[in-house]
Amino acid sequence: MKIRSRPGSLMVCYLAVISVFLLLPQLIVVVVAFSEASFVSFPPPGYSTKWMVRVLSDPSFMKPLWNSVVLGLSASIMAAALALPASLAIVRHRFQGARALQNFLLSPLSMPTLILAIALLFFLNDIGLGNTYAGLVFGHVVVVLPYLVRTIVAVYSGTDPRIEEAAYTLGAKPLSTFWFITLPMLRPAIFAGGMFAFLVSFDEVAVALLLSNASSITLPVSILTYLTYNYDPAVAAISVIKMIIVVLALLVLERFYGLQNLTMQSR
Amino acid sequence: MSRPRSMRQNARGYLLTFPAFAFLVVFFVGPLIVNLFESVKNEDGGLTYAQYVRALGDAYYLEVLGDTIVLSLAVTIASLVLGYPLAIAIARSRGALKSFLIFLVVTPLLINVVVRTFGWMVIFGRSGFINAILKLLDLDTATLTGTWTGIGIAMVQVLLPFMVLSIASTLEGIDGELEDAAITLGATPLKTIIHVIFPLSLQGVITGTLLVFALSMGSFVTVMLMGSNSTMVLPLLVYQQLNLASDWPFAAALGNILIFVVLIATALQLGLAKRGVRR
Amino acid sequence: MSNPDAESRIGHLSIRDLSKSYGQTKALSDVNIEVQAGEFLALLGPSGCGKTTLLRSIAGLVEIDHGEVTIDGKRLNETPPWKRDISVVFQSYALFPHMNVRDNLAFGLRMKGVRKSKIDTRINDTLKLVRMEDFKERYPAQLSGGQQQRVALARAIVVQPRILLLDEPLAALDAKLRASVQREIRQLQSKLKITTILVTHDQSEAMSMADRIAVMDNGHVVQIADPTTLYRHPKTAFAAEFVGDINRLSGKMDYSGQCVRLADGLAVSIEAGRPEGPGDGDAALLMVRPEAVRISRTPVEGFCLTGVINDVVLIGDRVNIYATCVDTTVKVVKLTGSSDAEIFLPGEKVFLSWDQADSLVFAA
Repeated sequence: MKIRSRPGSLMVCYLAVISVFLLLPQLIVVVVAFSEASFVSFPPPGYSTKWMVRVLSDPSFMKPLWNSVVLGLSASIMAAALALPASLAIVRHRFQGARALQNFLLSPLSMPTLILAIALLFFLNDIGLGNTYAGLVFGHVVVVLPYLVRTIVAVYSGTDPRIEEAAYTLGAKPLSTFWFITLPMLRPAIFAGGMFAFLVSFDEVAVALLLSNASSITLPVSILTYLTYNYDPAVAAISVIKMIIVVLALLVLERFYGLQNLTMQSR
Repeated sequence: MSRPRSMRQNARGYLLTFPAFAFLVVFFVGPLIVNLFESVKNEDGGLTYAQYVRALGDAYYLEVLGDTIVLSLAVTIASLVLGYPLAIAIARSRGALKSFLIFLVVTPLLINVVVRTFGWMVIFGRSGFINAILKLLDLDTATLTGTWTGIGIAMVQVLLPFMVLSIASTLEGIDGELEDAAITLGATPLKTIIHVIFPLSLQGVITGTLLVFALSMGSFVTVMLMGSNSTMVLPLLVYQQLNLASDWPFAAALGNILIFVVLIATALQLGLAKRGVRR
Repeated sequence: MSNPDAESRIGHLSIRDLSKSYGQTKALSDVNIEVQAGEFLALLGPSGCGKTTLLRSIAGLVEIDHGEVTIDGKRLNETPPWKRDISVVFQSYALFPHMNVRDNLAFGLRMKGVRKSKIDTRINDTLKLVRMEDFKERYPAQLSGGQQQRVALARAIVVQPRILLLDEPLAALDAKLRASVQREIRQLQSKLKITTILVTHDQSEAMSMADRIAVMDNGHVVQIADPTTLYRHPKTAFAAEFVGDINRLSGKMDYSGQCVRLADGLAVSIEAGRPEGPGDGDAALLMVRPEAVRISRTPVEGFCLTGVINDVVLIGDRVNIYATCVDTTVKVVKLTGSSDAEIFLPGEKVFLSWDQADSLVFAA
């Protein structure tokens, strides 16, 4: 019972160290964001909100932030539209090859995104979508689609198929059953999967780095390029703004879905 | 009860999955095939292995490939060793502690790699966190920026959550009573972990190591920001060939070599897993 | 509540030559059943006998391979479930988790196009019937198992179906609750006179609820009869053993056709004129219900088996006595305190006998 209920002192030390290890970089970024100095140093000589104010009024950060939000929403919505019917069929229709198809739909997860980005760059050029916004959106749909499929399939597999059968026997045609029964039951899963997809897209660097252009540049890419040429607290400030958005999204996700379920996801 | 697989059911299934399937065939499989062609194409449209010969025949590229593999292996092993106890803690804790531990693992996952790497730059930097502490202790200052060690530490922090989540999800599925049984049969907690829990969690360990290895093989942001001239990894090289040298065929070839290494690692690990199961 | 449909006595179901296979496995073969309007039929059998597949075929939830299902003379093979007017109460209840009790009941009425003004009255009437009128606003997750079961039943009957199908509806309830719900459902059914088919593997549930019972084994309907006939005159050894407790003694049919010769040579005379029994000289199974067996310390006139008591178990109002005779153990059941339930002790020598009419003989 010891290992199950009461962590030993060794375990407590370990958990403390690993907590610091996992959280320290983010905490440091937050501290630096409120630095008064015009260069990065730790600890900062003094504190102020000047970098936050500067970043919030700097279009070279705010435009990419807005771009990222729009891109994340478009990619998630489009991926959800593709993932929903596919997940329904995989779970309920049990057609031949359903399992293989599910694995195929999840396969972009195991592809290094930089390689995917390069391949997409060549491919989009070949089919005449090179350097277009559509190309960037499609690239992100490929990246986020697996997250939606995984979430919806997991939740839908857990629902009782008799619930839909009950609706049929009560006079509901398949379309009404889908609309009044299946869809409302899956709404939290679709929402959670979509939110997850949004966060992944919001954070994605490689595909955005290669496929975006000056007008569609995303926030992670703009931070990355800024950081290759500058080293000042502005990066920390914009990072904090991004963290706040992510944490807010995470809180919403927790409310609808429960973070605990995320650990059960990768099964 | 097994349900029928009637023709109509098959047809409906294919119809509903078609959009997602077709989309991935066009925008995922298609690009990878194009990438393959791009790497074996010569100027006048014929086939050539020249790019691969160039990559594998040059000591510099081989060294970069070797460094990338060694770095990825080190990051994977460090993540496994550091992450396994945390996975156990997550799987076996309840209530507020569990929520905190999950928060601990998930939050970094959702903070951008670029941001986290920046955090490490501040920690390791010349006027950074570690040097501030060293100064307080009246010691000589040092910097890990630009070294493999610094890059490795930062990458472990970035990738550790993937390892922990994979293992924790398998551990969650193991009946807690198994451990109780082992302990009542006289096994010490450590022996229980070694003989009961670890073998049962092998599936999660394999998923986690594969994932972390593949992700570190593809990581370039950390090296791009923290690295120096002496630290180069394959994905960053690919990016540079593409963006700075504009050598597209060579970039494609290097990218394919990267995929190939990841595939071999996957096959090796899956083979090991099968042997483990048979035993 | 007056049920207008019940007055016109609709809901006559007939199943002819119905077959269904899953790959190589035959789930149902040549099933023929007639259910009268207003009748309560139980489909009884062990798990995997095909009873649930039969129920799902009636509801239209599985496609059948062969045969036909008709209701009130109309062939339903091609009719999808949503046009069949057949309600189902599932074992898992399958309540809509995102709707409260009222909306669960309203769903079927809305789908069937019942006028808005009538929906509320019908919901209220039905909830009253199952004594759930105070739970209208609750969600399924906020109800106990027994309450969910009532809501599932209410949702099925509020649409006034031609046929009500119950798929092991009580399996998830605990034993005490089950007995009272059995009685309630039975009373409700006779009040509403809805043709009802109950799937169950519990013979006592089938016996206490149904007008008639169809015993199923391995995809076949073995026998359809009212509970008393089924218990007294089972057609096969399977039916005899599945319904109630029974002792089995193996032997051989005598050439006279008048008695069964047991392993030790003892002849047990049986009633003549059994058309489906074993042929003369064939191996035979002689069966007798435990409560039909008389037990005494002294031999009785006519045939009797000699045995040795090996166990006596008091179960509340009854005593189970186990005696070893010939090559098997015979169980005898007596009411506690009844005149012939003297307390026997293990090791005692006893004599067992029963009426000729209580012997059931089947081909082995």
